[in-house]
Amino acid sequence: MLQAAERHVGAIVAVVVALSVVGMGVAYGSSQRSTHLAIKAKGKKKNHVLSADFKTAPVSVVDEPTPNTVEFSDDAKLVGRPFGNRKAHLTEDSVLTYNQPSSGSSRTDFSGTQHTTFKAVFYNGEAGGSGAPMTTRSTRTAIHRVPSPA
Amino acid sequence: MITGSSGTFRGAKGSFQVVDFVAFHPEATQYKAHWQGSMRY
Repeated sequence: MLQAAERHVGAIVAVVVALSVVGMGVAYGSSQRSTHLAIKAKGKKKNHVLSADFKTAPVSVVDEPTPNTVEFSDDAKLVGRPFGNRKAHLTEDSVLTYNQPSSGSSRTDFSGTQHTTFKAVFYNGEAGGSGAPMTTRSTRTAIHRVPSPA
Repeated sequence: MITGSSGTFRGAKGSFQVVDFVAFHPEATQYKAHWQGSMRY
């Protein structure tokens, strides 16, 4: 059953993906830091271009909770600006909902919607230390192309 | 949503889009794409 689902996922090519990320403030350092330093650090913030490529490992089907739903996950690497040569590690959890339920063991309509939540952890790797992670959580929606009939 | 921890990405926030998202490797599905946007930190 899961292998069949993997084949279904394999036949899909996503053609539209829209993803947005909204930032969320986090606490600054420890309680020993002064307010002055926090304000000063905040004032130094600058915009940086985000331009990075990601590529996943093979996806793993987790479950098929309904006849037209497949849950799967994968790991990925993210490389590019502003991260330099360092790679970020991503984990993705996806739910793919087909517009039409499967009929028997074969599927002919692969159209549907995919929602993916991923977590990216970056290590800045500053000299003398392991750096600190940054976590990104987002959801994307993809519209899938229906393959041509055989 | 971006949550920056301590260090370089402390308080980071921004927005981006995923473009050129494609599946490849027909026997074991893998995805690849490009993220483009901006971050403030």
